Amino acid sequence: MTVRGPSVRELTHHLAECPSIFLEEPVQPSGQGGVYVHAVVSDLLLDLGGEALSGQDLARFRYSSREAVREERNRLRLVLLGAWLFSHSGFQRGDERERLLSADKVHGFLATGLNPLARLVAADELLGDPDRREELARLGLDALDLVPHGEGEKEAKNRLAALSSVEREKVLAQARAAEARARAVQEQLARKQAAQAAANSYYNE
Amino acid sequence: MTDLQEKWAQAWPQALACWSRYTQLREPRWLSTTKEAAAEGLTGSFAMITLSDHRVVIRLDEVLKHGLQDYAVEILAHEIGHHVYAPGDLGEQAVALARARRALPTLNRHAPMAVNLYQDLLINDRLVRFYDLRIDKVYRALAVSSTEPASQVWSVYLRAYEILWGLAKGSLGGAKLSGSAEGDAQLIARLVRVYAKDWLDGVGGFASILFPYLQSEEGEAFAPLLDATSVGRGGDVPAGLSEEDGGVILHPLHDPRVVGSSATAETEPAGEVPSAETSAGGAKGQCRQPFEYRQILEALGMKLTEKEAAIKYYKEQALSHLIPFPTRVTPQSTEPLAEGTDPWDIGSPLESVDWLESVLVSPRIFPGMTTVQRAWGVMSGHQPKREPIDLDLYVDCSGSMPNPQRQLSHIALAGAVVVLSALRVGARVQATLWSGAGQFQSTRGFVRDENEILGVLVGYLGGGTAFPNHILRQTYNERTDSDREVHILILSDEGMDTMRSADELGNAGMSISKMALEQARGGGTMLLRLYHAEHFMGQDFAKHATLMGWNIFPVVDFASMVAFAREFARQRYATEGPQKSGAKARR
Repeated sequence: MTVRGPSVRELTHHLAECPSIFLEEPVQPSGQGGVYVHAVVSDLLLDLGGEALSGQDLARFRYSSREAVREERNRLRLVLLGAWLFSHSGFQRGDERERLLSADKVHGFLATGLNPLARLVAADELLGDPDRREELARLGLDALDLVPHGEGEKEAKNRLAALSSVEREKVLAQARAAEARARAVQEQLARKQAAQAAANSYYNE
Repeated sequence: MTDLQEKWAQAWPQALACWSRYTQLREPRWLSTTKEAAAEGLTGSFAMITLSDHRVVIRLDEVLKHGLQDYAVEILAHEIGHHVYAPGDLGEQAVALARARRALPTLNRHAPMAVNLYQDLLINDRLVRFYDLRIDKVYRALAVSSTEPASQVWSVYLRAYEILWGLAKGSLGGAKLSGSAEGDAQLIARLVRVYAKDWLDGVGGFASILFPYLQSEEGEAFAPLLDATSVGRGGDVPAGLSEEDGGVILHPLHDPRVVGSSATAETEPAGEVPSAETSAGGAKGQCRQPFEYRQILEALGMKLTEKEAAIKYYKEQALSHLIPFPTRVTPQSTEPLAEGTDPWDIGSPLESVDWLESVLVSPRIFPGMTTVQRAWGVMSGHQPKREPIDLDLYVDCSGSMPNPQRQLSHIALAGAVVVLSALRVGARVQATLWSGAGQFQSTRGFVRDENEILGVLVGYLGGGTAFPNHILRQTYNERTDSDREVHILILSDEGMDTMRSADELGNAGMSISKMALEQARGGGTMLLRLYHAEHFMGQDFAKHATLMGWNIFPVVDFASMVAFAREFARQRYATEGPQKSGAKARR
């Protein structure tokens, strides 16, 4: 059965209004930074009717070491944006069982579901670009097996596939290889055309 | 057909409102036959715009043929979009074409099509997103009416629309795409959104994406959609086109605005597409070459000959370098004095009829019979009068000179600067184009027709080299002191020394030259394309000519052309400027 979630328009609007606390730097092992990601995620899960993070789960939402700060920073910042997305009131409807289910899925999505996107899109770009905001909103809905309000299931899948940065990166990699070949030809032809132009300037029709 | 026209005419205000309530355009011209369409220059497509007269042209029979009769608002709003959004005006269209051409080396003929398709994407995406128009259905209808299978480039183009509007793959009728083609469609969709506000910056990137497809396909599938490929038909040449716009052509894969900074950081930055015109020995980043200038005008839909385009090119280039051309002060000016009336005949200008006097002659007017005009005499004035000196121009177009219609000739440009400066102060100009013996073209004596003079200046014969001493002789042999003073300007190269040769009557060339300088009384300048100026100036001919009073300027590039103009103005103006020379004349 198709379960409806909030509309994509509502969610992208919600993302565009992300408060500054969710944009602060995650606290590093050195103590620098302004927000504890694991605390934010725990609060969210509790709100959704789930349980707070504990044990190994906590580690997923912290820097693993000082050396890993550079590598893990964007992922943790995306987790914060994801947490803000799921704070939308549209995700907190339904009975207790449904909300519990949602909390599990949200937990899974924030723990690992954002990793592919984090490798490709910077957190700042994700908020600043309408397409990327829509992608995050659709990823969130998809993670909870929800169909956006006002759309069909197939339409939603198509739209997500068209926006997917991961899919896009795959086809762009192929396009890059083709473009490199085309550029070589393009440069060769430009030189040829330049030589012809120089030669033609001394001839009359 | 009348019903359809009525229905579409009713949709016109709604289509205008899609852009703004204040958009004002005349109702489209509705055509119904191939003959009418051919007369308007509409071939292949069912719609067209012309920016020169701000009109939309719709071919109703083709609309029916493609099954588009129910999409009046969509199609009309799209055409209006070309007027108010992309390209909007001829100047922007010209820049767009120039950028697309740079991205399509050796495939320049496809530039108008690439620009048209790019603009269509921008307009259609806006109409769908903001006004929810059914543009996708227009494309579906076109797919149904098409008999040809979708080509690769057409399929990529349609896929870009599908991505933009969240439609299922293939729903607009495109063929299945390879991974790289799917990537190109993604790039196009992204490009359209990124450059929606400053669309000109994305046109080169769009053409770069199409480049590999157009190498193997001609793109005929687009024919019904090409509605903005001749927008400049019958219009004026946009200003500023002779200058390079300097925009960098980046493939969208290397454009951080399109693919994002994180993705581009992983790849090597790609170089700009080398442009043919800047590599052809021209002035990089400054002037377009004349041949490219003409090709862009052609792509705009303007029908100009190579010479007409060259005239406009050199005129535009010269205008920013005009100099004060020398004038002489005559002791007294003359003032008009009314001296009764003369009969006015049919061939005279209508505005010269003196109606009051004509009515006094006969209350009943019979043109040519009872009409009169005021007769004017002259009387001595109180103020000294400034009179320009004339210009006698000799342009070498032998085989050693570059063809100014193809490549920027700094000699021709310097000539244009002097000619336009002279005409500006009211001087008359005689221009002679010369090459080998007996090969010459000339204006009808000293004239003020700018196009006739510049036409000679940019002409090209490409033969041998023999300075036309006989014309110099004929021009000055019988000149008297009562004739206007003339400055002689010769544009040539090392072949200038053929001036020494005798004319057809056996007169020594340097004697003719001396006589001409004396009779002209306005001085003489040789503007020479010399790459070894010192060597040339050390030769007997140059020494002799300098002693005789000729000023010799070598001009080989833009900097030396500007230096010449400055020096010419300084020399002529300082010694013969209006006030000084006037004071001298009075003394």
